[in-house]
Amino acid sequence: MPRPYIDNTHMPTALNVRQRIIAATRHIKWLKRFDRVATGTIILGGVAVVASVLGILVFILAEAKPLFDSPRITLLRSTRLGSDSDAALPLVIGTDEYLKYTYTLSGDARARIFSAEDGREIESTLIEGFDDALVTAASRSPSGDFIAAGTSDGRLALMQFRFLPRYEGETMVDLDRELRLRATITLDPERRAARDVSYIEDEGRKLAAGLFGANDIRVYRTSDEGGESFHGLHVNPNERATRVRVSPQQTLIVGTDIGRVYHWDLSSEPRLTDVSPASAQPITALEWLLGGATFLAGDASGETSGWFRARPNESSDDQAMLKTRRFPKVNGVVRAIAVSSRERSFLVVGDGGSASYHFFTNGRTLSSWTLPAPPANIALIAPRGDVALVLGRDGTLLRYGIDIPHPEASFAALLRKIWYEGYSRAEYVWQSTGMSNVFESKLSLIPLIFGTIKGTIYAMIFAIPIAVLGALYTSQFVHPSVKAKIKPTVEIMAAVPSVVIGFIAGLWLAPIVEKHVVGVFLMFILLPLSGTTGVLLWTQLPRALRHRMRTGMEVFVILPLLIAGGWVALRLGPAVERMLFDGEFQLWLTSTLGLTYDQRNCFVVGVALGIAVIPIIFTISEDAFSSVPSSLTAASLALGASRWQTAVRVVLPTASPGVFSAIMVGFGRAVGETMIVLMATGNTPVMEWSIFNGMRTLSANIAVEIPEAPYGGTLYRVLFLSGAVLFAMTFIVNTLAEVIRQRLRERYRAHSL
Amino acid sequence: MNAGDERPRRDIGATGPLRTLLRRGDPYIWFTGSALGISLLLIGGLIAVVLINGLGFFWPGPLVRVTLKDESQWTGEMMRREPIPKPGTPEHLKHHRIQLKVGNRDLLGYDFKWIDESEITARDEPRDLVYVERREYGALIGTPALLTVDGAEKAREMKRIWPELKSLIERARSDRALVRKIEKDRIGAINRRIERARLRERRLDLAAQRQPERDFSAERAEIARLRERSQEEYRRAQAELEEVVRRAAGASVTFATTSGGDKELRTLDIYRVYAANRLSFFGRLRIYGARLWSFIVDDPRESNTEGGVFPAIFGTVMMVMLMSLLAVPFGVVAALYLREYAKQGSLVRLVRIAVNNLAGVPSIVFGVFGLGFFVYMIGGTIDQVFFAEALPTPTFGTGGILWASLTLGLLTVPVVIVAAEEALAAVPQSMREASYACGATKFQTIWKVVLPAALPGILTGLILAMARGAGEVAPLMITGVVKIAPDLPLDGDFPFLHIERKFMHLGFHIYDVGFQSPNVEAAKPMVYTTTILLLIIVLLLNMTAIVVRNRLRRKYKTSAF
Repeated sequence: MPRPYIDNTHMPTALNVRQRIIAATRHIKWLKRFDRVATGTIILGGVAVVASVLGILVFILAEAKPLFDSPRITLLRSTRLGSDSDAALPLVIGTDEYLKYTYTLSGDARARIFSAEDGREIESTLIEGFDDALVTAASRSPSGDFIAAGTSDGRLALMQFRFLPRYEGETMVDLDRELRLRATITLDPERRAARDVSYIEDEGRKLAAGLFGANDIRVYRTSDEGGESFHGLHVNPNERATRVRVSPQQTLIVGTDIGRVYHWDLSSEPRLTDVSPASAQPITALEWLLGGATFLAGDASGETSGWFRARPNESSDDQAMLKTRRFPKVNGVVRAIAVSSRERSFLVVGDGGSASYHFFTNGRTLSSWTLPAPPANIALIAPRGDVALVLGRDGTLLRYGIDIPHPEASFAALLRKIWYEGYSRAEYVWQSTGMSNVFESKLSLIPLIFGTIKGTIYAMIFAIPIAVLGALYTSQFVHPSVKAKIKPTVEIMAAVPSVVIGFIAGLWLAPIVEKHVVGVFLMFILLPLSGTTGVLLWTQLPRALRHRMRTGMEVFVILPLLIAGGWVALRLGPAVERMLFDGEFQLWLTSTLGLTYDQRNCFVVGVALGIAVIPIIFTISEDAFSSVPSSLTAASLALGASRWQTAVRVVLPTASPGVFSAIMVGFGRAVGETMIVLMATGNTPVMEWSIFNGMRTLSANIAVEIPEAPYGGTLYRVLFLSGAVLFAMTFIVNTLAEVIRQRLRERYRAHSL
Repeated sequence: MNAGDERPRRDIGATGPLRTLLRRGDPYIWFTGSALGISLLLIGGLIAVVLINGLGFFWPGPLVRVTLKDESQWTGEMMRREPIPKPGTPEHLKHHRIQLKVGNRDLLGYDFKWIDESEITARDEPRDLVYVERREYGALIGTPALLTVDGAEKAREMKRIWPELKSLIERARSDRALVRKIEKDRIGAINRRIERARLRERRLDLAAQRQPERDFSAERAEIARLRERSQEEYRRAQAELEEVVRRAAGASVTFATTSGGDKELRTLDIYRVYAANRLSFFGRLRIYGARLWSFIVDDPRESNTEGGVFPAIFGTVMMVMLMSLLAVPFGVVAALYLREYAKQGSLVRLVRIAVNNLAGVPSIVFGVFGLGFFVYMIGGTIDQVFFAEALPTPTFGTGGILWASLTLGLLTVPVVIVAAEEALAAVPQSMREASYACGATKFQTIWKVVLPAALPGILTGLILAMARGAGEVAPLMITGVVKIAPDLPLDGDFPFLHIERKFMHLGFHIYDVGFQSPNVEAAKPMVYTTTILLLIIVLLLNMTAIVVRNRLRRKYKTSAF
């Protein structure tokens, strides 16, 4: 910046007064303009800095917001597919990932491909060897496009539709369409017409099933070696089977007209494992959810329920089919259930012309709407999950756009107990990613919030007494010359990077504590005791010696005593362990209390976090104690109160808001501390209060998971949400503390006047 | 608390001086004194643990050879001795065992071995045993048996080999430097040229898509020429490198070990050799100093468990400097606004509280913000606009030193604001008034009077911010720190400062080596030493801040609480 003041030394002396005044005026004008510019810049800059710093929360919330965006389902288009003849009405509809083509399979045993754009028929092929038979039932697997077509004479064609992208340079120009006939078999030896069929292929092993007659189920499968086998299964003679579905898990379900669902395990010889009373009405639609472990049964009353196998309670070893979800009724008979091939959402279509879109895990109904025409029993969700197709009974194909970026997120999923697949009951679970792509992500924030609070509480239990009492001692009883040394020392402690504390806690403290648990716990009794016994020693000292030392030097007597106390505790540890815990504490813990001992446990974290927050609580509360007006303490001492009485009855109550705010600031720091928790716990998101378990906190969870979370995905946004929760928690606590401190400061000011 | 002086009298029934003591509360004072004592012990203990474990790491201890009852022999450095726990038996903690650092991981598969003292029949310290630091597999402990140069035997036995070895290892050091120079500087530069040519070609492809009518063949031909030339250079450099390595790799030493036969090592792979049992105290001190030095100036080896931490020190310092460049000007401007320009109403008070509290918001939250805002949003946009040819490989759309520094800058801006505001507030109003009275404008007053007076306080803020920045790890982990960065963010390659590069950091180094490395036990001493380094940096910065602040307080005598 230039030097804008008047410099007389360089002024030519020949100038007259008038010229000098003009020059000075010009200069002052320039100065004023400069000042205005500077003012504007600083104000702008200041406001911008403050605003952008405060904008952090806004940004984080904005990143998390799409989790709660309301779903949008819009009718994009309705087209008519092909001819009007009954035989050509589709039994199955499918589409490719890019939504360029729609294919159908109809009763006339023809596979047709239409342009998805305008419904124009592009090609039509007859299934090989089916020229003389009518197809009576067909099905399509939600993933893999495996098509089964059952004929009126008990035969079954197993096919797969494939769309292969064709590239020119780096842009996709078209899809090559291919209908691969995988096998043609005679499924029913009695040559009856197929009523429903199902087919899946898993790593080259085929599994197909069909319904024939009233209650006969025929199963066909191949083994890894290619060997074929046929099985005949039945439902009760007084029931009529209505729907059959196979799953890649080598299981088979059959729905019946009295609302029961039979479940066979086909992993070895077919074994009937469950007959579940899914409804009082006939089962009209049956579908496996993504992953093939949960099935959805829709009935004639319009209700859909979800079932999976799990242990009915913790103690039992056997699994049973459990009903875990009921979804709101659709209007009329459930005509079709379409499941997504990428997540656990599904679409239910009711005969009365209503459709609803649900997410299974959190039981959320994402959207319900009315169809313009009554539906046939075909609906599907496109491979990318962005479009749903519903076939009307009049042959129109309705195409809906689905815009639900994060169906698995909801307040219920994040904060309530959820009954996850394979669990015996609803639980709070955090398990965001799994091995396979059919993994059900479990995004409950509760275990993380629990872990955060648990770690913080243990840390505070450890830190508050030490910090507050230490601060009281420092401010009231310590000689000023010592105090001048102690305060910077403690401040230095505040500066120790948390990664250092975490490292020492995880790699040095944790193994030591594991070895000497009992000794370490003895320390909690022995250390204060040995420190306090100093007073006994002190009174026994010869008076002359005692008076040589200034008051407020106790801490130098105490330090060796404490070290001695700690040493004794560690020495006594094994003996006490032998006496009380049969010589092996961890064993005793497991056998008597049923608790497990993790090496990196909550105790270690408590101590480590404690070390991190002690300096903070210490400094702030020491300030609060020290700034209690001396008029108050002087009055108390003058009235004959002892030092201790003054400290406890005058200083402590007066400064208590300050101490409270110190504790809150410490709490805020402990809540958000990341590295210490990351390094000193096992980071397992369990929900147990035991001090010998680890936990996972919100902050450590972010650090662990966000590098792996794809940008814009649900996990990414949930982590942003937990960041916002942390932000809000600490910000509120800190603000409260700050307001309390300001009040206190004003009160003192009033006092000292 | 009120009953505190009543109860002891009844319960303990103490008499005489003790009773008075209890009533006056002296034991309680001692009790609170213990609390202070414990917190001091915690600090002292923490630092002592780090120092004890870290400082000894470079000390070349004697190498022992133990013979066991089964007549097997083990050589190594004594690490520690401890009682053997056998809970539930009378043997519990009766006998001792020793831990030897046996080295020779390539031969044994482990670095450390516990040996029961009751198994040992003989123990000695052979003078011929040497400790070898080498390129891979950790240390080698053995006796030199044979020295060959270009396949021909040059010397046998320790006393002949040893004098030769010194100069050979000196030569190996300069050979390694040469190899490194060729690999990093020449071949590296060629590779970067080839990469740039590839990106230019991609850019042409993209341009050709936008303007199909234009003819790019001239450019394409030039790129092809460039690439051809670079590849030719690459072949030459590669040949030269092979020649250097061939010449340097001629000499090799065979060491006899007790743990699985002989081991032949090229001298090129040997970093340091010492005969531990022949060293005098000063000899040990020299080795200690040399190891300490190479810890500071060398690159890490063997996934960070050996070698030095220079890139981490460099990364930490550079990140802190970038961060300060961002945090200080903005922080001071904001403080000036809040203290000197804004109308002091309840709104400013609220803003002040909010800014104050931002300093207490968990650092991981800033990290999350940095990742979402800087890396993905701004970085992603920059990539799409300026580096489209490199996509899908991100240039700025991934963590880097710039984003990490910006994130930490945001994290430390509140610290600077608070400190600067405090310093501005401490400047006596009378000084401002005097300045105005002389006719100075507001900005002149601030620039000439207020800021100079507040400078020490602002400096305190800067130092505290730097200390915080140097010790913070969590936000860096997600915005640009990596365990091994191949290149420093500052080097001789145009444009010299590569703010988009990932970097290494001392704090993350501690976390990574201590918790993520495959061989934690072997890496532990290294982590302690790194910890000492980090602690020294952070604590020095903090102590400077405290000293500066205390001077300032004395100067202005204002109360701050």
